[in-house]
Formats: sequence, C-alpha cells, structure tokens
Amino acid sequence: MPVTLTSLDDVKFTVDKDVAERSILIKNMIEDVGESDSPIPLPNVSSAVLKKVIEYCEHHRNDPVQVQDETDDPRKRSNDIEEWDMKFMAVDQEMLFEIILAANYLDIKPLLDVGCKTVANIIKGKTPEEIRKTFNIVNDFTPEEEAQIKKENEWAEDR
Amino acid sequence: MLRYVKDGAIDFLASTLPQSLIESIRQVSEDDFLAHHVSHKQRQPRRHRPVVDSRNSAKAVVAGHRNLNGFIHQRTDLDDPDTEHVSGPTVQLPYEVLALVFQHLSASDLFSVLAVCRFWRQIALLETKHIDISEGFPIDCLGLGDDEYSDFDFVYNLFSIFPLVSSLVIKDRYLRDRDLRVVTAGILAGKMAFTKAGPSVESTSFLAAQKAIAAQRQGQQLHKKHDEKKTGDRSSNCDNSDHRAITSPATATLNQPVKMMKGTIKEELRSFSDSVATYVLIPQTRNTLRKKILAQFELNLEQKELHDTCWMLENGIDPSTTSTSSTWPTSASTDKVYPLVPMTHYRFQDCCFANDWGAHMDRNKLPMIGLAAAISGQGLYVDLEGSYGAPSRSIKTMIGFCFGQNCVISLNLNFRHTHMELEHVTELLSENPILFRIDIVDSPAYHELIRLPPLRGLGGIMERMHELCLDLDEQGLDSSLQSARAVLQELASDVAVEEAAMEAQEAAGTPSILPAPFEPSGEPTFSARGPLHDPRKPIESLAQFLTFPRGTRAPAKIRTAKILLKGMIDHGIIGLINTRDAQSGQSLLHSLAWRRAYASFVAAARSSSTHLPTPPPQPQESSFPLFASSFPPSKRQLSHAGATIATSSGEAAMTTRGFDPSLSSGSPLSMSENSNSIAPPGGQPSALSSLLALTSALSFKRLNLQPVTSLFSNPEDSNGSDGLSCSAPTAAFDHKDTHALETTPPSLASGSPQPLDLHDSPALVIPECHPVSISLRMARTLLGLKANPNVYNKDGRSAVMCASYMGFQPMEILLIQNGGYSKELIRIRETM
Repeated sequence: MPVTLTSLDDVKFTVDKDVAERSILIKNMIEDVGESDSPIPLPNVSSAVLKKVIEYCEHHRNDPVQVQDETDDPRKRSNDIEEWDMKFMAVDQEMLFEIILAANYLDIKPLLDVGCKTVANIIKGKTPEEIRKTFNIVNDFTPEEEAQIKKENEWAEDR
Repeated sequence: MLRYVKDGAIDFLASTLPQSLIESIRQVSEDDFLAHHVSHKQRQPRRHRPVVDSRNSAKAVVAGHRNLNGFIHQRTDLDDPDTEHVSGPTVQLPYEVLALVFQHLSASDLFSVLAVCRFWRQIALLETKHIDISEGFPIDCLGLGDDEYSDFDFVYNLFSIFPLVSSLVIKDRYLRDRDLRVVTAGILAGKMAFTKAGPSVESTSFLAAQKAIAAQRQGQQLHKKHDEKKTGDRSSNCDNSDHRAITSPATATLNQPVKMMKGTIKEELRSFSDSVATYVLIPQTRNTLRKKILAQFELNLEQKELHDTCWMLENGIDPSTTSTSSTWPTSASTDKVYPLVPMTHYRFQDCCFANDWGAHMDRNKLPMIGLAAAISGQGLYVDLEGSYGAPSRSIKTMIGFCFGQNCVISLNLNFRHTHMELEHVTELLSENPILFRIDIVDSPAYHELIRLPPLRGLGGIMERMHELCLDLDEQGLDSSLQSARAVLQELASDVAVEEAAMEAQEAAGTPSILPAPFEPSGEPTFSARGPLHDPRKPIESLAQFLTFPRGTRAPAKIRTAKILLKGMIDHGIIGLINTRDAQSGQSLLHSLAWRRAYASFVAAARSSSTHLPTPPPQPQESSFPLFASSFPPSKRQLSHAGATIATSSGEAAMTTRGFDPSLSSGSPLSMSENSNSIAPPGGQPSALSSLLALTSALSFKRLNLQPVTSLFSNPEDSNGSDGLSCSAPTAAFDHKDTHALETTPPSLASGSPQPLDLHDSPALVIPECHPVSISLRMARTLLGLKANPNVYNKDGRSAVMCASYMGFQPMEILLIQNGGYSKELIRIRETM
C-alpha cells in the first residue's frame, strides 16, 4: 500500500509502505493513526531533502532491521561505509547536514549513521582550526582558554 | 537533589541565555550533567549507555535542533566581525547529532574537536569520558583482555583507589579525578614505545614471538598450578629466582595471533591496535608522539629484518638467561635461546620532574607505572636518561611496587641526584636480571661503593680532592684526578681480564667464581670479607663486599658487581667530579668554583681596601691546563691561608683558608664598626652584592653558610658589633679536616674573631674579564633564562649548576673535556 508524504514546501511523495517504514517515526505514526489515505506531513523536511531520503530508503528497502549490538566495539568505526552510501552522501555540506537532520527527525538510524560517519570522516585528521574553517565555526575561546586547552593536551606532546 | 539544582540553574540561565541553548542543556542527561562532579565510578563505558527510545528521541531532537541552529547562527552573528570566516554551510548540527558524529571519532580526533569551540567542546568532553582508546599498540601489559573494561577504565578505576594507600596528595574529588585522568593517560601513553624496535608485524619472527609468548604464558600457568600443589618451599623459590623474575601473573591473557596488516599505514596501525587488548591514547596534534610513532611504524615496515637481539633487549629479554619454559631461538644465533618477556618501555628522557623548575612531568607517574607493571607482572623499562628533578622517591616507590610482584625491571637511571643506598641498588640489580645499566653518580650508593676496597681507594681520593678544593690546591687536585683516572683505567683492564676469564671458565664448564663460605643455614654467601678479597679480580671481590638479599644466587651477585663496576668505569672521573661530598653537600666542581669565587671576591675586596685604582693583581696561571686559573689571587697565595672571621653574633668564629694573600702573613682583614657597607658603584646595588646573591643562592646555602651579602648589611640589622658578618664554609671544616688545621697559621686557628677592615673602602671597580664580572653576567643570563620557561624546563637545572662554573674558564674546560654538562654549557654560552 502506498504512503503519501508531504514535505515542508508542500510537495507530495508517494512511496511504498515498506519504504516509508524505514523511518521509525512514520512507522510509529502509521501504527498509531492506522492506515489512511491522507498524506503524512513532514514539516521539517524540504522536498529536496525528502527526495534524497526516499532515494536512500528505496535502495535499502530490503535491508534487515538494524539491531544495536551491545557487544559492538564501543568506538564506532567510520570507515565501513558502503560504496553506494558513500556516493549517496557525496553532496554539498549543507545538503549533507540536512539529510542528517532529516534522518534524525524521521528516525532512520542507518541513514543517520551514514551521515554521521561521513561528517566524522570530514573531521578526521583535521586540526581545530581546519575544522573551524570546514564547518564555518567561530572560535569563541578566549586566548586563556585556548592556552588551557593546549596545556591539557600537553602530556602527550613530545618535548 | 542535584536534578533540582540543575533545573534551578537552567531556569536562572533562561533569563540570560537564548532559549535554544537552554533547550540543548535540558537535553543533556542527568549523568552527563553531573559527570564532571561526581565520582568516576558513576562513569559508564560508552557501550553501556542506554539506547534512547526512538519515539522520544526524534521528537526531542526535532524540537531542539532548529532552535539550536538559530542559536549557533546567532552566536556567529554576534562574533567579532574581524574574525576571519570561510564560507561554509549555513546549517549547523545540533547537540544530539554532533554527539553521534563524535562517537565515530577516534580519541586523537576528539582532542582536536575539544579545541574547536565551546559548544563542540561541551559535547566532546562528554564523549571523551567514554573513550575506549581505539588507537594504540599491542602490549596487554595490564593483562586486561577486552572483557569488561577498556584499559582506560581499568587503569582509571584501579588508580582511583591508589591515592588511598599512597602518599599522593589529591586535594579533592575534582582534582583527584582530573589527576587520575592525566596519570591514566600518561600510563597508557607510556606504552607506545614498545614497538620502537620491534620486528615488523608481518615478519615471521614477530609471529613466532607472539606464539612463543602465548606458549610461555601457558607454560607459566601450568607451572603456577604445579607450584600451587607443592608446599611452600621458599628455598625452591630462591633457586628459581631467575625464572620467577620473568613470569607473568595469572591476569595475563593469551593473545590471539596478530593480524596481518595490509593497506595504508593508518589502517595498519588501527589493525595492529585492534589485534590486542591494550591501547594507547595518542592525541593528534602537531608534533605529537603519534606522528613519530607512525613514522616509526613506517620505518619498521620498511625494515623487514630487524636485529633480533636488539628487539629482545628493547623488550627486556636478557640474553644471559636461558633456562625458561618457553624460549625463542634467534635467527642470528640458532644455538642460543632466549626467554620472551613482554616489556613496557617508558621513556622519560630529558624530562623535568621538578615542579619548582617548571616541570611538566608528573612525578607521580613513576609510582603509577610501577604499580601497573606490578599488576601485570611483566617487564618494565624506564628510561630516565637526562631527566631533571630527581624524582628519587618516586623511583623508589616504583621499584618498590615491582619488587613485591616479581616484576622484571630494567631501569636506566642515567640521571643524577638519586638518593638510593647501595643496598637498594644491589637489591635492585640482583633481583632484576634485565637491569643492565644504572647510574648511581651523586647518590649515597656511589659514596658507599667507592669506599669499598675493591674500588681501590677511590673514596679516599675523592675526599682528598674535596680538601684540595677547599685549599685551592689545584695542582694537587689535578694530580688526584689523574690518580683517580689511573685507578679507573686499571680497574677497567682488570675487569676486562676477569670477565674474559669468567667467560672462558664458563665455556669450559667450570665454576666462574670462587666458592663462597656457607652460612649456618647452608646457603652460600658472600658476606665473609677479607680472606676472599682478591684485588686482581675486582668483580668477584666486589661481589663479596656487597650486601645482597638472602637467597641471592651467585651469578646474580657477580652480575650485580659487574654492572656496578662497569658503571663506575663508564662514568670515570666525571662521576667523582659530579658527586657531591657527603659532608658538605657540594660537588667537587662546585666546591672549587665557590672557593675561587670567594677567594677572588676577598682579593677584590682587599685590593679595593688598599685603594688600588687598578684591577686586582694578575693571577698566577697554573701550569695545568685543566685548572688554569683566571682570577687574581694565585693558588699559592691563596691556599693554606686562613682567616678567622667573626660571625654576626660574634661567638662562633670560623676558620677559613685562602681568602686573601695577606692572611697568609698573619695580617688579618679587619673592618671597623662604622664601615657597614661598601659603596656600590653609582649608588646601585653593587656588582659584588649581586655576585654574592648568586653565590649565596648557589653555593653557600648548600654549605649551610651565612650569605656573604651580610658584608653589605647594616650592622644593626645584622646584630653584629663589628658590622661584619663574613661566613665561611663551616660544614667543610667541621669534619676531620686535620690537614687543614695543620696548614692553618696558629694565629688564625685560635678561633678569635678577626674583623675585616674595609673601612673607607672605595667603590669596587671590577674588570670586565674578572671572574666576578663574568659571574655577574651569568647571574643576569640566568635570570633571563628563568624568565623563559622553555629554556628553563629543559636546561634550567643544569644552567644553574653551570652558572657558578661559567665564570671560571678552567672549570668550563674541565667540564667539556670530561664530558660533563658540555651541552648545557655550550647552549648557555650561545645564549649569553
């Protein structure tokens, strides 16, 4: 049974139910409200982003439901992104962030994971200054605080 | 209750902070909110963090993240317009998402994130609590495995109880928590050097080593079970002391075979670290150890064949020990097999531990790593070469931990000012077959050692040299140094001969040492001295004179004696020069420098008091290049001259020698009551007084002297009737200085106060080349050095030590010729 999703800019997307239910949020809504022909409003997701999200969900419609393994390596790896996902995430940074936010909102954990891994990979190996430039973040530390931070990490610096 | 505190604080902040930030704060869980202020025990490994219900999380996040974006943008807008901006995304990630992102970051990247901005730092700090240190190197030193805890958690929790049983001073919970974090990180960081000289992980030798270690551990476990069945026979334990020393405790786990490493260096590193249990936290900053380790890794991978013996030595494997259950034949010599001992290698080279010198190194790390090694029961190699700060107590504590746990220890104490007794050194060496080198210069152990008969009178020579210093008999000092050098050379050759003979005997299968007498218990001992002392065999002889713990085996005794002797020989006369006298607390050079300074000062004062407009008389140069004097009073003029100078109280008169040429003729220096000062040039504190301040700080304090600056003090202040308080090296003369008494003129040895007459003295004009002037320049340079913490941290201690020598060219020559402080001297020279 198809499900209709309405984006922030009032664009309607009709997708299969199993595709829509990759989103836990939509799945819960369907379960709570019951099956209905009325479109599901997604006021926090623009049509461009929703299109990308649907693309992802359609590609992964047959994937098994991810179960969090407590015995997993506590530090998650970010180098195990599938090739398709990597290409999927090859978007500009703004879109990437929008996808992550949408995945977070729609509760699509695999997509959220892929997005976070992609951002983590962007951060990796960068100095604080490089990170600031990449993400357009303003350094709001005072010089004293910066010195303190440097001092905190001094133990590992080879002098 | 704290929840209400949090709520109250948030309500309060709501009036001042943007709503978006308040929302984000509200989202922080209770544990996170309190995490910085509660016990570490409340910390949960990241894996145990509760999974957030997706129904709630989605709604909560969506409620907050847009607002948060607004907040960040607002903050950006409010920022300094001069701040350089790069065009970037307008969308910012909210707290929840950033937290998720940070979970994918390695520990080293988190260190970078911490320094990005306040908001990121806030999130990253929460994440760092859950670091499981995914980058590291394989040691499993703590025998942790990866069952329940990350090693960070393990060590952290372990040491959280440590302060309760140690002398660590941790003022409150917060400080304790912070310090423990630092220490834990330091301990983990210390492990990284393990791989420095190891074979490449792809090599068969490495795999063979891993398998052999695993086999050895199995054997040890079996051996332990076997031992447990037996009744406790202490003598059998003593017989197996060598084997015991390399055993690991039951906590050690068997490692899985190391993974083959493919791909880039970074991936190899990760793969390597994942293959075993113990990790190292390596922050990624510029000039980090991580960078060096990666470089080392590259090097290791390039160098497919590393020398086996080198690796074994680096990892604490004693080639001389052969009888173990699990051994590993080297490719270099297949007829020899070596035990495999996992060894942690800590490098503290050129570190400064002393807080008062701007130390960065926490001296508490040493006991900690000792404890860690004791827990693991594995090897510990601590390299303190070039370190400053004399953390002798910490070292002793560290060693103490290892002693109690049969831990193999190899300690490079190649730094000065240890406070170890010879008995402790002997115990350390004899019980740790891995320890092959130790520097005991300037320690009580050194003093004790050189006074033992097998050292052929070096102790007496050193005592005599100190007396000669005080006499300013530099000719005699030089000849004594030559004598000491000759003795050491003889010792070296005899040790070499004896060693060769021992090896020959060993090869022939005969006992390498003389049979030792037996104690009533039946155990062989070297306690009997005298009859067995053979001066031609210094090693055996010394072994008989040392005091070993009960049950020490003969080979260990011989080995201990050999290490001590070789250490003495290696240090040569510089050891004698740098070792402080047990009585005065002054090293030879320091004594001499002080004597020269004092003599030249008095000569200068004397020349001023006699209204000499010209510089002081030219020195009578010594014919010995090492001691070519550059200051006015000649040795002959100064030596054996004495002066009895009143103390401030006018009671205890002290006899000094060599202060002034005129004193030798019996004409005492005197100073009237009104001559309470020598007018400094230009009305400023005189150069002389500055010198005296320096020398007081550097020299007189050690000799327990009154500062000579009292020469310039107000008589009322000094409470002296004569207005003069000129001090003398009391300690140096308090002890058995019969030679000095013999050479002191009777009139001066009488002990009657002889005031120094500097009445109406003109302002001192000290020539630029005069040692006093040079010392003054040194003092200024020192002050400059002190102002620069970087210089001070690295060279501060030596700089000060050298400073007192710097004014005296002969000392500098002597130092450089003998290799002492030469680097520091050169560096200071460059800064002047």
